[in-house]
Amino acid sequence: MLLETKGLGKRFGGLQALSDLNFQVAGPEEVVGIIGPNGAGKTTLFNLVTGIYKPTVGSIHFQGKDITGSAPDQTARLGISRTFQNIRLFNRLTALENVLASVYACGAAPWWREVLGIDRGRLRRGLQEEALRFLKFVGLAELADLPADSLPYGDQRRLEIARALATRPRLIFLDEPTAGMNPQESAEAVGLIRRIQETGVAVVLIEHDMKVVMGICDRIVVLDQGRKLAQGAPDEIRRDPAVIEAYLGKGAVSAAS
Amino acid sequence: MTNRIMLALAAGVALIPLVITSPYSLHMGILALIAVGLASALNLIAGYAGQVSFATGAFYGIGAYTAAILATRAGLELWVTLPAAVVFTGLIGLLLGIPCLRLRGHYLAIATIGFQEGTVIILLQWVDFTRGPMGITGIPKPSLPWIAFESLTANYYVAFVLVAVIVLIVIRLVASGLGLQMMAVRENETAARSVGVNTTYVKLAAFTISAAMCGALGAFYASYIGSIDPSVFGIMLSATALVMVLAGGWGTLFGPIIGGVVLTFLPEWLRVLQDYRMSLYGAILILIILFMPQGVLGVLSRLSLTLGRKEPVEGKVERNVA
Repeated sequence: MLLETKGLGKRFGGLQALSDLNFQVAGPEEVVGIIGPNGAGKTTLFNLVTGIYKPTVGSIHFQGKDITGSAPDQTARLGISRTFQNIRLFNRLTALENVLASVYACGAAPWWREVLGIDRGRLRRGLQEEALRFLKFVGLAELADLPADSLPYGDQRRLEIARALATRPRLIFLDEPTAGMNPQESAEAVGLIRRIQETGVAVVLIEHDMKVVMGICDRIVVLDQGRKLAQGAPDEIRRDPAVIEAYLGKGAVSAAS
Repeated sequence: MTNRIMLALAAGVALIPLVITSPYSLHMGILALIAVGLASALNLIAGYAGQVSFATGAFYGIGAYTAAILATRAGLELWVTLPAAVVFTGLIGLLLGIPCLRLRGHYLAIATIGFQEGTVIILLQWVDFTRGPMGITGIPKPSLPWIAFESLTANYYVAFVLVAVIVLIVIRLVASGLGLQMMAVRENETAARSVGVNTTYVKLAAFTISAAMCGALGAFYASYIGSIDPSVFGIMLSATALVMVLAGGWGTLFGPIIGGVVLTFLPEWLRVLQDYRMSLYGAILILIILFMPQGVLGVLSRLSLTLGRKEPVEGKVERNVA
């Protein structure tokens, strides 16, 4: 088991954002989709696993190790990476520098050696090449020297993915990777997610575009009001009456049957 | 490119005492060098790491008092007192950094103002140790084991070497992994943590290094000027240092150099206006902040962009880090 949450719960004051969630990612061969209405607790789950929130109850295990309560930078260095629903880039840094920051943060490059001038140029060039490989992977190599906030929206999403991949994760969480994209960009994003999986990185994604979810996910977890409503293969989820009810209301179930 | 301009600049600054020999000009030159050093140190934490600090004067003062007390009570010379001031001020910077880790924006600024004011109060009130408002006098001039730097010219070169080392460290830091992670923290702290940047470490390193640099400059200043009292190290100095960074161009290598030199000489040039001097100085600062939010360098690089060379990308390339 790559990732496993046991009885995970998060309460914000009077709001139970997530309760008693047992969620698993089996291994690098998996693409898991998380769907559910707004406020279902999808992003809360991401924020719990990546350490932005501390769980109220329950535990999180990654590669057999209890990582409950780890700080976000620790989980990133352990091998869990993520993107954000509202893109968070290092806006005034170039695309390459955005990725290079990950490479530095997750690598072992002692800065004092650079400051003292010990093989300063060589170290930097090597890491830059590494960063550039991630930009190439998402198709942004040509735009490496442009500031992140000058990139078109779709490219900003791809840059965020490149930056997340540069931490060399075992598992990547993508929060609405195709939000705001046109059909063509969306199709490209699906292709990119497939290629990420092929490199041996497990993918968990939150997505509202059902065509995307049904198309690439091996398994889908449905959340509703902070609870797991259903999970299974895309075909099972599509037919599940509880899921249809949560999305479309009670009438829709009887209409469908 | 950056390195060549820096080298040319350093060579030029090193040659100045050969041309200009009036004691007043050399004294102003030394003060300008110190200002460049302070602004560069502040730029590291405020401009690159994005943590606005009003504690520059306090760190400068702590360095100066450390050196002054060691020199007058223990008879130590600058080559001993300066490293001591660096270590002690760096340590204080680290200690200030810890409670400031969770503070951002205005709250961080207010906390550093509190530290700044608290430091001055301690310097004023702890009379047994600091001699309070009377200050410390009779601090010996800079020296090395085999040579004493008595003349103004010699002191100018000591200041030059010290500031050159500080600027060099800043240049290398900014080009290092730590520098890039500082900028990542400045740009988006949540995102920085999500890619593995240990923001605690990065911020504390920035606080410590920046404070230690101010401490070194304080130690030199005490030794150069010979007598110090708390009034020099107040919030005015902190604010002026911040204005130097902002007016020159924050988050750039040359910005604090331009800001430090210009804002040291500007009040002197305005002396002809006598009583209106400080009002005009204030007005100029307000105009710079209002109309050049990226500082002088920001305006220059935007000009060079519009004059061709590179396509402006939605007008946002101007502060691509040097």
